[in-house]
Amino acid sequence: MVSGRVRAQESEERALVEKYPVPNPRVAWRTLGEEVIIIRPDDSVLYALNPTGSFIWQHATGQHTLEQIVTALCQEFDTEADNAAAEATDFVRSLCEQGLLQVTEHPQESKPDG
Amino acid sequence: MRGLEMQSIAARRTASLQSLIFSIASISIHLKGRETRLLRELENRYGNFLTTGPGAFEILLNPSAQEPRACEPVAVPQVSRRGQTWEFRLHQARAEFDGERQRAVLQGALSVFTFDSFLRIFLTLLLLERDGLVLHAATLRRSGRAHTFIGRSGAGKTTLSRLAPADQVLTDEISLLRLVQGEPRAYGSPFWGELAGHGAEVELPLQALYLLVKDRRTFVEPLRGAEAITALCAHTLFFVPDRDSLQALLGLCARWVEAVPVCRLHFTPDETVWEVLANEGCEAPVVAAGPAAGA
Repeated sequence: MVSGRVRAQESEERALVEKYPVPNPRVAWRTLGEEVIIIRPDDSVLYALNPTGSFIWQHATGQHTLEQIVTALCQEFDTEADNAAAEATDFVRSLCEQGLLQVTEHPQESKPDG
Repeated sequence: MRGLEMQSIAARRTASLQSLIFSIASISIHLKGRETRLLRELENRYGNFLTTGPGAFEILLNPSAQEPRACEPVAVPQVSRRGQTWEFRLHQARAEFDGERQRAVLQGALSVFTFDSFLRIFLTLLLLERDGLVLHAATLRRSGRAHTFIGRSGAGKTTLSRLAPADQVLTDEISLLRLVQGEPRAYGSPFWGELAGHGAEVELPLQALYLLVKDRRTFVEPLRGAEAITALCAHTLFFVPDRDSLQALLGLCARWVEAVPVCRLHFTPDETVWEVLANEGCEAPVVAAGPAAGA
């Protein structure tokens, strides 16, 4: 039996994968090989993303839904879609909570400044 | 006659103290003020960095009548920017730097301590624009070259510095580095930790950067490019939270990682450190090609 809480989580996950992640315009970041380094401006905390996190970050241009990014991720890293979707959703949610990413309902018109 | 001569000497002494020029990391700074006692204290503090000639930057000291309060919690410095103007909020003082005129005014309850705090922050701005870094790091001279050991308090900077002859220590706490025509250079620093030295204006080619890790044995571990950049950024004194400045810092750290070997030094504090460094060396991190910046 699926509890209401699990259903709510699944619903939230579905809602998130339909949105367009994009970096918070205030953060500074840089790609180095397959890795991305981010500095949060409020406290100068540094983040170094692993290759899959970096892949998601680099595709989070505001022009692709998270679902589209997960599809590309599965092709790039040869991973199962269900697992990838769940982990990517957690990852994006975590970065949003830390003020590094934002999600929008609609695609951005042009590539963001960074 | 004798009295007049004495007065004349005193007047010249007073006049000369209205203005000091010193050079730190090859950046000349012209200090001006009317508070003779404060300038004399600063002359003592930065005596090994005094120079002549025009200063590239000017700092006007404008102390308030109020004496610095003896005991008050030290606030974290705040820096903000409006166009070419930088504002500094310091402990019992504040400053404004006009980037176009290259002139700063420091006012408030001024002391050597206040000025020292301001100067550290001011240098982070000036060095950033000159491919330079102000790092939490000790720098030691060995065979005519500088070796910089990065770490927060307790990482072993002072411990390692105590192992070196006193005249071989450029600083045990805050290192000043610049890329000059792409070549990494280390400079004497007036900012010290427990060893409480005063430093002197010297410039040396930089051999390598080592991230310190206390361990039971001494060995060198290579770093990936991203690790090296993260280590550099994490130990750089930086007070400006705006995105452009942080992006510039990331870009600068990436250039440094390409210009100088960076590695992790696991060490136990004894003389074998230099033997290990001589035998194992420190190789440049591998930096894979990729998009340059987050743009």
